[in-house]
Amino acid sequence: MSNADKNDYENVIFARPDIMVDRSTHFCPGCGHGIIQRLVGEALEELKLHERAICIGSIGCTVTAYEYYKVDGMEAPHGRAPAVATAIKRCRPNLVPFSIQGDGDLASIGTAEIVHAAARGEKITIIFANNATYGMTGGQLAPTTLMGMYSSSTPDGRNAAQSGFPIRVSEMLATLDGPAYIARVAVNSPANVRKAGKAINLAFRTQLAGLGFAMVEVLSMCPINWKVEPVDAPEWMVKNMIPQFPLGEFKVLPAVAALKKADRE
Amino acid sequence: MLISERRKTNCIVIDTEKCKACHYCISVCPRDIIGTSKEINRLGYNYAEVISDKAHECTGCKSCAIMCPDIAISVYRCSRSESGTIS
Repeated sequence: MSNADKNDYENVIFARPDIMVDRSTHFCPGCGHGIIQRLVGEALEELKLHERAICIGSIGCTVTAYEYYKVDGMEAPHGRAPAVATAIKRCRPNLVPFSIQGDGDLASIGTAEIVHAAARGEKITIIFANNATYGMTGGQLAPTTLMGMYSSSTPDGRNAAQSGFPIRVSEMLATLDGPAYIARVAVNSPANVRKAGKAINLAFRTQLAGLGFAMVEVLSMCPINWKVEPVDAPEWMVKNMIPQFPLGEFKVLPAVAALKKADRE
Repeated sequence: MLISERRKTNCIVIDTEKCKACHYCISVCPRDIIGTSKEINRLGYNYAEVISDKAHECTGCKSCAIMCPDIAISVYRCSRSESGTIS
């Protein structure tokens, strides 16, 4: 509390979005998922989706996402969030289904669902939280684990002969014709968090405008399983993760670019 | 002549019971106004707190709040009006 009295507070310039429940998160210290959840909450609030959004819970550290938003939710089996979102969107086109999926959920067991949802150009929004590890189950090798990275199932570091190479999901999906917007952002610094918020907002507006499939891959910190101090995790990401997962927009349809331009003006 | 001076200061409020001591806020604060407490909260962490001597230096840049994974920080733009007379 600062030197001013509470009565002096005039303008709240930053606070928890009203659409989010006031509760502690279940994440470990320094986990980027909390930031991603808040960015999604800010986008939902800004676009006034209180009555229309449906949060699809995926499996992994993001499993209880629906506990944090004051919107309706549905739990999907492991990896099947895009399929559940597809069903909701096709049955009730005025609703706005979205899911926050982890890398074990989306890039491993749910690869078929995400690839085909993208190929069909389903009008859904997927936020892909990529922290290069299976966070919830204890840091095993994930499809996105970096080359040479230690995990509890590759104690000598990932090597190509045994475990192959990491999958760059954004680049892979961007080669399809279905998706309207695919971008990779990170939450390792205030500037990057701001960019991530804009990308997530654009992904929701892509769905609202009916332009097609939108996915934002967010590189997220997992200090516990990376075995680094939380305060060093953003630096670790810049050094190790961003070179293998370059940031940027991989697919922007002209109609989405027009939405983005309208926002800037 | 009556003049009124409007002095604006900004401040942050940290919900110490939600803090998990990741210290992202401390590392991004451009004025270094956030430090670590000596006490622990009910989660068992040495939570982040505003250093009282430096509280008035807050620029309201929101960097700490947008990096906080637990939405424990809210930012306020405070304004106080002070009026006085000069002859």
